[in-house]
Amino acid sequence: MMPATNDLNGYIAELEARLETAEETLRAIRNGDVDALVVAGPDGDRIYALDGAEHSYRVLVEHMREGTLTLDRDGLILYCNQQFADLVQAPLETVIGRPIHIFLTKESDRLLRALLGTAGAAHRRAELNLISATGEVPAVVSISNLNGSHLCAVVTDLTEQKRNEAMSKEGRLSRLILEQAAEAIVVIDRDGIVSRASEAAHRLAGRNVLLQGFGEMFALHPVDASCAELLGGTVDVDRLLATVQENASLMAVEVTLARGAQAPVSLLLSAGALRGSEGDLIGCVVTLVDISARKASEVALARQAALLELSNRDLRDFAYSASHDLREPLRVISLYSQLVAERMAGQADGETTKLFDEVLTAANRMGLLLRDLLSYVNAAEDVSHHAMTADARQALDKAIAGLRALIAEQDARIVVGELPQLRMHEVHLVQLFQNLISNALKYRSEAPPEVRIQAERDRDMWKFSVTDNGIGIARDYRTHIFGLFKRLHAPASYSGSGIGLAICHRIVQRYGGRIWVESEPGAGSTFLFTVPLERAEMLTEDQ
Amino acid sequence: MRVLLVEDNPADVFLVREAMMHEGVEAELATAEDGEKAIRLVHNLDADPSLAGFDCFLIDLNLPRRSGAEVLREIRASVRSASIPVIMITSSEASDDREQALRSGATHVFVKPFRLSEFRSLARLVQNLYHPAAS
Repeated sequence: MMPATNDLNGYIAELEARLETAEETLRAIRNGDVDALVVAGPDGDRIYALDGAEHSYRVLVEHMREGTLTLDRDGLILYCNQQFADLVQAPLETVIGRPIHIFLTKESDRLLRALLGTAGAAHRRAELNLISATGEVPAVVSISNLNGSHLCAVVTDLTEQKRNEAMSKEGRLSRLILEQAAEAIVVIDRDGIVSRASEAAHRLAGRNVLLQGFGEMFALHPVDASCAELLGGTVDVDRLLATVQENASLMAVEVTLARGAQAPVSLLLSAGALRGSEGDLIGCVVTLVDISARKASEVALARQAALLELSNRDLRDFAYSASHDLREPLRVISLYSQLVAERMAGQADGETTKLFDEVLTAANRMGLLLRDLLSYVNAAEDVSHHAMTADARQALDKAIAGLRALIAEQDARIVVGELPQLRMHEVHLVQLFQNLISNALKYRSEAPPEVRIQAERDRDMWKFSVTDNGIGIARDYRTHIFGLFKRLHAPASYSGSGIGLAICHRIVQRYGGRIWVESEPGAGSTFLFTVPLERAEMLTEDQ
Repeated sequence: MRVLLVEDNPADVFLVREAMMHEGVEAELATAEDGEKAIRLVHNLDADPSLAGFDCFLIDLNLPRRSGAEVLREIRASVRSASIPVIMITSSEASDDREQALRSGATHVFVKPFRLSEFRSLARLVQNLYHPAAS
């Protein structure tokens, strides 16, 4: 049943009167006009008399910066000052008479209950987290026994202290970072003045750079012309700031640092903008990484490589002209011998004719040797500068075409699997196939020769295999055969210069691959070689 | 037929002469032993119309003083010898040399062989290139 309007109005009037009384009481307490307080609770009224409390103490309590409460053993707030109410961001009148537990985090509540339970100790302290309307407030609570059943609690706000602690921890950390960093780190303000610097930065400049102009402390010269255009021939701090302002960061620009009489240092300069809370530029952080040692070793390496290249070229030229020039007189020996043999025909005895045949055979053999030596020299040709794509199938077809006569003569079968595109000179690939196939045909067994050529991916390489059903190779000779002029058989039994596999080895090696043989005597051989997949840097060359 | 052989190696001069004889090619074989002498001969032909010209040039690529390639250039730039067949002779199997010579106007490039029968084919080549004027 709804209460009558009159009843409600009466109820409101009564409540207002009670509120006024309560407020008056609070005012009185705050002003020190009250000596005792009666608080109504579920178990009946509790009376709290401010025994012996002087007016001046109450004034002190009301005006101290700490929150102050009196609690009963259950944690009921019998009294608190305005500061405590402010801490938990609740109206004072709603705090008094409520259990303190509702203003604590669960963890802190547990702690406080433990504190309240330890009746014996006269004075206890603990760090707690209060719950305010807007979040948690770190605080330290000191609890003292007031009399038998009541306790006095003083609550100190730790927010500020915690913040200071955190900040000083951060400050210590960044100081340590600057002390320990191996790189020169320089913080520049908006005016180009060094506000902070790592130890390495001071060392690099050879003096204390703090509060000095960055440009005066570090005479940096960009190596790259476009960077010099951007930052100045000697890095200008205003232009540096303007650049990071626009682009937010500058990464690894190579610069040299002039250091008076000392040798200049090669550095990589990086810079990033420092912005305030409004996004406005307040400075920048410059990092300078010393790459002098790396540069020096690069230079040494390049010099070494150039020397090596030079000596290689010398050797190549020597081998080329030697084999070329040696062929000339040999050709004359051969042709003249043939002429003499022709003119003696019918007149010379059998032995003389045989001797002349020997001369011709030797001259021809030497001619072949020199020709192959030339191929070997050419196989060393530098492949890095003009690598191109070769279709392995096409290269193989060319090799087979070159061996057509031999294949027909031996009644050989060539079986070919699927072959990839490669980043190689086709001529080198043809030479590889030609040498390996002719090798397989040369060292055939009684059975009609069969040669299988296949390719498969092996991680970042293509692995080719040339398998035959020939006489095989004994284990001891498997590396030996890739040497120059290495032959396992007398020239009489197998023809050839002994350079073929050395050429293969050299070509494969040149492309960063590997060549080897797997074989058992009498069970055929498989020659395997690898060449790398197309390399990223080679791809870019084509673009 | 008049043939100029520009060759510094006497053995090759002998072999060319032998090949001509063996193959029955009737030719008057003049020789020059370096590039400079050959070029002078070509210039002399232009300077003096009364001198008898050549019907074929055989030029070794690798010559002292002036190279075979230079001699070829001078022949192609001359008045009287510009359209005469030129066979460049080389001991190099390098295809670069061959292509370079053909681009410069050589009629044929002959790689010096090890086999006598192949060497003698040079004489037949000279014979085949000879087309005496109808007049």
